[in-house]
Amino acid sequence: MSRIQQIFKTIFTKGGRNLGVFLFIVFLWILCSILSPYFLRINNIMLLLRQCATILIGGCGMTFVLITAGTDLSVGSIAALSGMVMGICVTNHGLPGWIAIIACLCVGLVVGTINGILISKFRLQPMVCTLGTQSIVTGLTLLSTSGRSLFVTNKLFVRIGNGSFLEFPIPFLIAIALFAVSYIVLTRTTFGRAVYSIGGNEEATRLSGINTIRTKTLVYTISGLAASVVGAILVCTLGASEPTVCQDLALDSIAVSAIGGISLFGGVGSIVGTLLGALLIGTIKNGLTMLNIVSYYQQLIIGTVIILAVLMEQIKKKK
Amino acid sequence: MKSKKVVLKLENIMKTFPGVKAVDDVSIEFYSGEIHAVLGHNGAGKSTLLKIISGAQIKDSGNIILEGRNIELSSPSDGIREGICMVYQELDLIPDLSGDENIFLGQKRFLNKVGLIDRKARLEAGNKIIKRLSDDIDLTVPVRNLSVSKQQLIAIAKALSHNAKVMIFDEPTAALTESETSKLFDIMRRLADEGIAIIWITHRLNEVFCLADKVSLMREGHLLSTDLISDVEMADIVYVMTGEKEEEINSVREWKPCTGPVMLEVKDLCLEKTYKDISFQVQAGEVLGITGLLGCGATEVAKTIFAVLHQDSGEIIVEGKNTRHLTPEKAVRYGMAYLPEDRKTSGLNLISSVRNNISLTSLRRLSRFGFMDFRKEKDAVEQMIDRLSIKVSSPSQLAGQLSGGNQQKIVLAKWLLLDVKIFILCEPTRGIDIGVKREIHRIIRTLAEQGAAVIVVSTEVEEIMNVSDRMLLLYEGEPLQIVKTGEKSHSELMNIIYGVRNE
Repeated sequence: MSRIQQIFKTIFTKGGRNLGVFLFIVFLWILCSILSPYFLRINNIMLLLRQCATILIGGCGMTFVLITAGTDLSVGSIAALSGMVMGICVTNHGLPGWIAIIACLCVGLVVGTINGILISKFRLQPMVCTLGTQSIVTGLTLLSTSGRSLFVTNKLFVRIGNGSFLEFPIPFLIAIALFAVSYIVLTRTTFGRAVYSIGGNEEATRLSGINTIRTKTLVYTISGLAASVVGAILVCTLGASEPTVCQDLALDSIAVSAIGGISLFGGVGSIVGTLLGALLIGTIKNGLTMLNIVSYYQQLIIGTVIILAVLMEQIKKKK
Repeated sequence: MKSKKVVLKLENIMKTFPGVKAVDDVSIEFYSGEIHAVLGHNGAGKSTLLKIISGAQIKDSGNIILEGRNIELSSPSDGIREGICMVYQELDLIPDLSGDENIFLGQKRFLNKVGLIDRKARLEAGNKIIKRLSDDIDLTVPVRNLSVSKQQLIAIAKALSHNAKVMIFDEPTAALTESETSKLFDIMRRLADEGIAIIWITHRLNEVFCLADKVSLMREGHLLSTDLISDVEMADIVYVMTGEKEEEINSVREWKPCTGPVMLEVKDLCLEKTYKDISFQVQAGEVLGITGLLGCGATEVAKTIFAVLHQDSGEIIVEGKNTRHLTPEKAVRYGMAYLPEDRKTSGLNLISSVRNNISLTSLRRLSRFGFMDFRKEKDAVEQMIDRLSIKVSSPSQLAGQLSGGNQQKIVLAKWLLLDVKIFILCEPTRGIDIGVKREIHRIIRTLAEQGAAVIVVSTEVEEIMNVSDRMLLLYEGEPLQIVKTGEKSHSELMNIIYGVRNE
């Protein structure tokens, strides 16, 4: 019993903020299941988790960046280029699926690291820098196929995209695994300590003998990698590489982190909040679809939730 | 002299922070025309009390009565509206705006017919106010081009433009030279004579006896006493604040030759427009003090050794190894520790816990394969908190909630935990009260006795005399001489530092 309490305690630290988001999710689930008899069916729940997967992965990567008081607006374009590279490998060159996946991840690795070096070593302002790379990477994506989509047929991809394990969709399991790794890295490793410390006071961290340039570079590498994973998952689920896919990834990732209480000023916040934020956004999107509400309302409602979440944080701080 | 009346009266003010009663049932009266010094330990609650008066902090209970009216302040702008203005230690001017723009910042005055700002009228009004303080300040240039003391006068003018009834000075002389200090004192006296109640926080006791009319002592959130300055003795104040007599504080040790190996050698170090031809050695087991007037380049030399700045020419040799293209990270690997002059901007992560701050330098030692060993960390941190008697409610308390002295101890603890051999300490006791100051001096001496090589940079000559075995004196970036402890008296040292040449 006390062990369970302990677990709950760790989940709901940070002044009950995560508890608030959690209770709101529970409330939405109850509301949706009353309004729609299909909401709580296992099929729909699995669909909901599948919808959460990409946004959770993006959110995890973004959380690292936000904690160092940075931002990464290029993740959407990285996801698109990664997916496109994966498609080209398989469709145009007939390479095996696993090689395509490695190539796909390399895209995020490289672009993320370039972002990181520009921001840490050459001290570019993160928002402007990643805005620039976002445009470049989008351009590269469009150039690679002259703006066309690419159909991708590969058994491995289908198994990842549409398969499940113990009923759980594979993309969701990948997301949860990445979340767990991120959680451990941020809370239990020296690297995680350095990430938080840079967000709190970069100069003091540097003067304490921490290699802040390396740490900050790695943070953007992680964010780029996460974006590539998102790109790969989308190719697997859609069976196609789309050059214009997931343009909203950057803003969605920032949104779930912000809802989860990650401070955009850096240094503060738990990645558990990001998980809850992703679940909340996923629930809202799924719920609105189940209730047959026109999808235009989604944007409206999600925006309102983001503002309310941040507003509540500020009001609490004032007290 | 005009008859003095109560301007500001505090009744039973209480303020609690997590774990501490910062201000505990304080009642005090401030009279117009009086300079009222508030003294106390860091963490005695004087800063908090004055923040409550100025509106920067909100009291938990009690009354603030201004000219017989009960007022409620919830922000500094409320305070300013009531005529309670604070001149902060770190001046809150906007460096790129001109003097008159700063003085009237946020005031909707001097508008012409179309609602735009009438620059000429504003400058005139600004000049009128500044003339009350000084004759030689150009209000048209950006304030970043003015000296600290002139900036301070602009901050005072800003307060005057709000028709201040109460002015609070927080360590106003910390960054001033002696002549600037005496000018400021004239101004403070004149303002008092104009009927303003002046509240003055300082750590410099001798200044208090030059200027103050009344003195209040605080300790651990309580107001201990309020007396006319003529009724108290300096030694009594030190005794009440710290429980220690003054003679002990100024004791100077005898010089003993040091036999340890040379840990750090600096050869012909130059940095343009900052310092030149700096050469010295530091042995294991000794403390080398570097001092001079503000702007003498001492801090910059220290920064260069820790690779925060980079020299134009010259060598830094650590244990016989010539170091090149150093970064702070490499400097730490060479066994150096650096305590920056400003702990808030470059020493501490204020929004993180005491524990995380202390262990930051030693993450490698407190982890295995990159994973933190939390038990080892907890033991190490608790040991440090004990060893330096840092007052915290728990290791997870945020560093930003602590008093200046305890914050400084945390920065020291960071490096003690790493077990380094060369310490470079810049202004180790700036803004810290006498009690903690003595503790830190004792720690510095212990470090040397245990075989570390220590460099202490301070503009406070008494401090340098207290802790150093040898002292390097700088004047405007040039080395004057290296003096052994006990060789020269305080006044002789002051003469050298001020560039007075004795034949």
